[in-house]
Amino acid sequence: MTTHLFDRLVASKSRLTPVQSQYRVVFENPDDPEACAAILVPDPNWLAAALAGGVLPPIAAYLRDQAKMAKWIAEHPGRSFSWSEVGGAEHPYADPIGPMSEEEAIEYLIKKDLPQQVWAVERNRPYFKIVRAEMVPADRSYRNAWRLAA
Amino acid sequence: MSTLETSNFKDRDSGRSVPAIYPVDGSAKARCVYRQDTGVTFASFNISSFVDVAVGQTTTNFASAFQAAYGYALGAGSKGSSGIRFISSINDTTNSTDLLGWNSNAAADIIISAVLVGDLA
Repeated sequence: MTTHLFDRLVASKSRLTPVQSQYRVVFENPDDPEACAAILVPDPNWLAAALAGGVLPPIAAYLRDQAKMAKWIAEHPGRSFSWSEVGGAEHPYADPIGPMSEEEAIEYLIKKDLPQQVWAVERNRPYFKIVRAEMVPADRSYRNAWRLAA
Repeated sequence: MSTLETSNFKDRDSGRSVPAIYPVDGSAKARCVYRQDTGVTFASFNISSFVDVAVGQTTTNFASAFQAAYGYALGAGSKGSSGIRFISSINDTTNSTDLLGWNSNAAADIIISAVLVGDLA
């Protein structure tokens, strides 16, 4: 039986050095056009595990879980979701995948942590961009007015 | 990796004991110390990414999801700052929670120090 993802994360944290990503993902949500741009920052311990391999489940397991959760929530408006309602989650027990490059890890994170309407639907303009960390402005005076440049 | 299987831990001197499930279920399942304005992570566990949503608002995405959207508790504070600062959470799901930094009564970028306790999926 595959070890639970949490146990694999515990083991990887004890042996791997955190890796600061050189990338950020700037995105806007097409379903919330008034919102300012958001910036995804990969976690250093997660990235170390992604680069090492043998820890994280395949992204398809997360996506199947997201679909299962979204279906249940749509069918049960007003109720709070629990994995016990749908027979448990797949991703904690899925067999881990091998090492990724940093670029592959960023693509994995986009699918896992960005809303699907940002990356899964073809639109007339891109709603996310992968940028180098130093391209994100340090001056946050007008942070809540930031938009994704065309 | 070897595994010690037991159902109870007992202190030899005092005789007090605790079921093995207590540290399993009662320990923090995710934690972070994260600076909202620079995006620097000082410490973390079971987090896949942080999303800078706006001033003082950070989505914390979990690598291993919690069992229920309202099934985990947040303990949080702000590191390295004086004055009245606190953290709240909104938009709780099994996969993520939005941590809000506050300075007095206004949203503000702070250093979030948070632990999340609850059952995992």
